[in-house]
Amino acid sequence: MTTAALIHVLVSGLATGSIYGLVGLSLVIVYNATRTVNFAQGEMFVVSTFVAWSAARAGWPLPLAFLAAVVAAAVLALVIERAIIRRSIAATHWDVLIITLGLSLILRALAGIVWSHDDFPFPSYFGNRPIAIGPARVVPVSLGIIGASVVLMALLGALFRFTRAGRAMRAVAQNQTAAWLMGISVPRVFSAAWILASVVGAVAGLLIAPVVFLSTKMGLLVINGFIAAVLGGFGSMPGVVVGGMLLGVIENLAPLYLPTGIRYSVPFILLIAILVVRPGGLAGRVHRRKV
Amino acid sequence: MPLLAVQDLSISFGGLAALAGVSFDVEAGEVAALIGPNGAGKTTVFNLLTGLYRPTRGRAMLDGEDLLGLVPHEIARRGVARTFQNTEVFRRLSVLDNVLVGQHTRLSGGLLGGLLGSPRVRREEAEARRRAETLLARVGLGDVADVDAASLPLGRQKRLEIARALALGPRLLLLDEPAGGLNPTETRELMRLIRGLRDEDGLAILVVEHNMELVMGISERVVVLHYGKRLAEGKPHEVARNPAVIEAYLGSGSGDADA
Amino acid sequence: MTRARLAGAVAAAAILLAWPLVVPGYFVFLATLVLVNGIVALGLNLLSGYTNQLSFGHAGFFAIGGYATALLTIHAGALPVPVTLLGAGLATALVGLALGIPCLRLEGLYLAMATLAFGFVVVEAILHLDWLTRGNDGLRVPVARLGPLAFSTEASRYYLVVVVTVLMVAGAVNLVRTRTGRAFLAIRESEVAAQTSGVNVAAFKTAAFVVSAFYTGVAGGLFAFVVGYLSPDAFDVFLSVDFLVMIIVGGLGSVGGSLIGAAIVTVLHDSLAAFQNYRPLIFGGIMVAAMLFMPGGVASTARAWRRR
Repeated sequence: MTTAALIHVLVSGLATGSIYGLVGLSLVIVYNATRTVNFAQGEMFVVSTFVAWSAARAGWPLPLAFLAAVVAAAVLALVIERAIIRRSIAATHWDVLIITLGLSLILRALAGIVWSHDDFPFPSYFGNRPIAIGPARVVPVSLGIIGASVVLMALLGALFRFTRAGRAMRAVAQNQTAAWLMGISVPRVFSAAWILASVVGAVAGLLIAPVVFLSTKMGLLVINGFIAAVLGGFGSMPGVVVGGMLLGVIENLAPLYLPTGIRYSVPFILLIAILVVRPGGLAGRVHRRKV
Repeated sequence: MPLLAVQDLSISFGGLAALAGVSFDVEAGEVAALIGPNGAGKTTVFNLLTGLYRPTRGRAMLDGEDLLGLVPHEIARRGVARTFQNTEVFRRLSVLDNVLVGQHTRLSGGLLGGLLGSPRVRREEAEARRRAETLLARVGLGDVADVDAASLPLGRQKRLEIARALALGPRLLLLDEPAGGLNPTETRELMRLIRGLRDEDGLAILVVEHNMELVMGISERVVVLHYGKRLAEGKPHEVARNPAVIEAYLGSGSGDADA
Repeated sequence: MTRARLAGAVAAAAILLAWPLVVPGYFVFLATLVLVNGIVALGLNLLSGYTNQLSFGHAGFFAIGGYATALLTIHAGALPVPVTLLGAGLATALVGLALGIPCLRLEGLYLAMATLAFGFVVVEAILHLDWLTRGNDGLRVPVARLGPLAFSTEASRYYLVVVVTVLMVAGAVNLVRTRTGRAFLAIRESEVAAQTSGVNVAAFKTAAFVVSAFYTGVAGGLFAFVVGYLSPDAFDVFLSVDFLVMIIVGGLGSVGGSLIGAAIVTVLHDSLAAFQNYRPLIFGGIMVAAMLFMPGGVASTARAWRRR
């Protein structure tokens, strides 16, 4: 393969990988705070991206439409967390998994009823015509996705490191009881985590929609986000980002080397392999349960 | 040769030694007590003897065979049964089923026999049921055989665990704080039960216990652990007079020697 | 058996046998589907409800059983139906073994995701092994035969499914009441106590995978005969979710509950066929509501009511 082609594949791999990273981050934010995974995360960003689409169609300027999506994401997360998830706090891990799975069906159906299950073109803000960078030709939208994702990831890093709310979330992730004893309101942290995750997911949805078309099927991206999170060692934020990028690149490289038959199975085979061989993630350690 | 010979047992967690070179024996047909302040490593000894933890060093010879390389179900198969400090009954199974699970190693019904309900499996199950009922009657739970284990009060859950452990047909029985949370009447019943197991069934019993009345009343041998080391071993009245033991209980301020 | 129970069993048997004689053909088909799904729900319950190993990929086992049956019937048409179904079940069980062993190290969420991925891989494999499975074009399944007997009518297929279901239910009832079933339950309740009671947890978790895959494979084989046509899109992740809903609604760790759940979900699915868009809405609502208000499923709710 020529260098130019390789660069092209790598850049588009990193672009899809950034999206996986963002989706994975939104899963990990909820997981770290509440120790459960939100299967409805994908459908939640489908809904908020559709809100932006409707707003743009109604003639709102694009930035305002995006803002509407972010606000919708936050409100949706708040409502779901308060109305349903909080009621099941005493429930087992199992129960919450099933509840979020049920929620994903509900949201998907609702989105289908309101906006239909068709594919819609989504307004793009980065150009789609390839530009030359050295010998390689790269689509600006890929660079735009990578750039926007990196900015958002940096913002998240700063949020967790330097703000009160971020520190509270980290404390809860470390030890819920201790955080509670220190005067941190754990329920409020749960809500905040759900809202933050939903907003991160919404941004991922807004970034990817112009590339893949907007549809209710987009929610299935949550699986790739999960794989990214597993690759990075579930719970580690930088790990998820790296895992997402890696998954994106592997997925884009695989068709060049593998027969078409198994191309689409690559992420899943990768997931099973990682779970079986290194359940703690590529760099992570396995956490032993105390007997 | 003693039934159980623990030699140089050591384990550390994250570089911290929880047990350092502990040795003691349990003779066949004897009740031995393992005592010591909280955090001395008593339950850790049990977790090692039943294969839940791996030691960093040491041996535990049961009748000449080392237990410490084996996994938990292999150890159970060799006749070591235990109860748990914070009871681990099968909560949503009936009391009778709990004891039937205890007989797991004594039954042979496999997957296929189970699916097909072969006559042999049926006969075996009927016998197992009778044995379970006898055991339940012995620990005084005959009246609640069909109740969910979770609905029993703590004291009865502890007796259920003993029945489940006995169902294994053990040579060595490990009891982890059997009297914890029991009232004086229940404790006296428990002592009677333990003596019966030793005298009538010839079981060797190793018991971890804070209740000194029970320890002094039923054991032939007492091993004192302190910060992961063996502080003393001997007959109950010798250990009780041992200045190092008194110092450990009163001096360390752990305040756990509630007699 | 008490007299009331005996009467109930006789009545149930009578209804089961007389069903095709008294209802129109479509309801015979529907009842057949209920029983097929009931076998899957039983299998899934043995894994998830009894051993607490969550599977989001049972549509994969179901597909393997279906395709194995179809291929056996196409290429070895002379085989009697019981042999074909047994073969399909055993082939699926083998896949269950291959998946169960590496999954031993996984729990809860991770196991759910690994089985979910398994479901996707199976569908992809069917799509792309088109020389064998005819990919997206689908596979027509020949009529099931037993010697001179051909199961070519709705009613005959119904009776075939009834016989297999009765055998499978009897097997499950036997299993859960004996040593193996108790070991499954013990693992669910406390792995530590199960181990120290002498249960080889790894072996029995794997056994649960194998039995569960066997049940689901046999059901897949029956499904192939009943619908007569297989294509990969019938076995997507939403089918796996349907199976889960069956045992959640019916009751985890309950044989009767599995059958009740299968009946509720299958009939609901069918009656909502005209409202495609609302179906997932209702199923999702059921999942959330069941977990919030009825965590033991229909079986334990009914038990609680009876105790009052």
